[in-house]
Amino acid sequence: MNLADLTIAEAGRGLRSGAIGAVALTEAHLARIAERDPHYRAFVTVTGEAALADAVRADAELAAGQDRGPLHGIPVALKDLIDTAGVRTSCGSRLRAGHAPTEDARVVKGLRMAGAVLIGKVATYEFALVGPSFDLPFAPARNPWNTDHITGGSSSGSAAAVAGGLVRTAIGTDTGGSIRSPACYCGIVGLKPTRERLSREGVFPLSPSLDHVGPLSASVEEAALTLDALSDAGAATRLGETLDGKRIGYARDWFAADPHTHPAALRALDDAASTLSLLGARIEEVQLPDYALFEAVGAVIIQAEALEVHAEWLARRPEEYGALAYRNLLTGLVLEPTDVVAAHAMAGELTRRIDTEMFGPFDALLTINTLGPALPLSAFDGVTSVWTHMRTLPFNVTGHPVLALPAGFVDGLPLGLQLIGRRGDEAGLCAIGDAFERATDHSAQHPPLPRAG
Amino acid sequence: MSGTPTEVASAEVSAAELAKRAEARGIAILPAALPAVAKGAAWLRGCVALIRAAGGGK
Repeated sequence: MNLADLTIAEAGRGLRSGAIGAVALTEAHLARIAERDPHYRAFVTVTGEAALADAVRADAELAAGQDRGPLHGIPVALKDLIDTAGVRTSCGSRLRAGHAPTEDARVVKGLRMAGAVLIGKVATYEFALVGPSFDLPFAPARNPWNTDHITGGSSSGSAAAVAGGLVRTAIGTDTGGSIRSPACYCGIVGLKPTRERLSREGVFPLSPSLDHVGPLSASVEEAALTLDALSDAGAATRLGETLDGKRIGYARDWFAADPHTHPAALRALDDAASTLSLLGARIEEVQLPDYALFEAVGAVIIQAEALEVHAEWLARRPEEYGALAYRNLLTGLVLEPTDVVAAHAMAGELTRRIDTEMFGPFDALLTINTLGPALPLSAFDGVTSVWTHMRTLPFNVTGHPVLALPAGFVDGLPLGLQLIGRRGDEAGLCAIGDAFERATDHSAQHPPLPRAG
Repeated sequence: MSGTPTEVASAEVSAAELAKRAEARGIAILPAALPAVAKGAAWLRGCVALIRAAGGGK
């Protein structure tokens, strides 16, 4: 077996028994990147030498009995929006193409403390805004399931790297669905933790009120282990639990009648509800507050805050933005301060309703992720905005933790679901996701190997 | 972030209004971008209308 295909837990056992070394594991991942990434374009910077130095240190520490936990000696990739000291952090933009921060982001410091091997920086939509773009210094990442299709974004490289077998886990960010939609399109697991669970210090902001940091991983267990290495969430502590007695609210009316919902995605969600029921959970259809209202609130907050972040560059260096990001950012000009106050007030009201109406009676909510599979790259011209329909933004507004899971396939492309948990209950969420994952074979599927040539 | 659907009614935003708002911030909108910015701004204004209709800001 290629070492790059070991799960984090399997590799961890091998590292601790001495059966494998972190250097050999890292070399296997670097070889995998060299072999496949020309097809996926997930990485914008591979830090091979530094990664091997991290691995040498991990081997020495483990040999000396100094165990830093489950990510010790495990290669991890970082979205190129996250500061890495001395390593280019481009934010996918010409404006930052030569920028090397002097300090690591807090989450990177956490990974170093956990003994992780930092193997490189992976693609992002420009400043985590919109994409794919074709007028930037970096080509868009490709979907490993079909490289003629998008990955989704903005954590595009994180998703492509995990789905393509280049790493088992990566760190991304999510302001409106940027961990969960690429996880869905690429058939992997995405975990948007509770807001404030992971520090955003040193992560370039899109919308400080809605930004989240979290893992994209090959399995629920690996997402949970990644989160646990960076926080006290205890996300992996309840894996393997029974679902007997769990109550899950199924928000089917958020998407079932939407003409953009692919019939296969609707079937996949109904099948997922049945599977969870067979596993012992009690499923009840629920009516959440109006989705369009959530989306309106999220959009106003994001566009207002993003404009503030970028106002100086928009005035002084407008020609350095890609067309899509530039046009998107300027839409916020139309907003008045009172509009933003109203949006925040409504966000508070919607959050209160979810907390009281849903997370009194229910342990989790189930709904769709994207409304269909990844679109072909040919649907995008890099200038005109193309909406990709999804149901992710509400939980950036409320800050609840969400686990994105594969739920099926159509035309060889993945479909996915979201499980939403109580604030701070990533452990309960991962327990449900883990049970679902074990009862289905969606996460066990792998993309076809890239074609030579 | 990524794409979002357009389920709210848009409200017209003129290029002149956008240019004036941009100028107040020291921004000169590149002319080729104006139609797309106006379209996105109109959708955003529709979002505000939806929030206010639902009681936001009261």
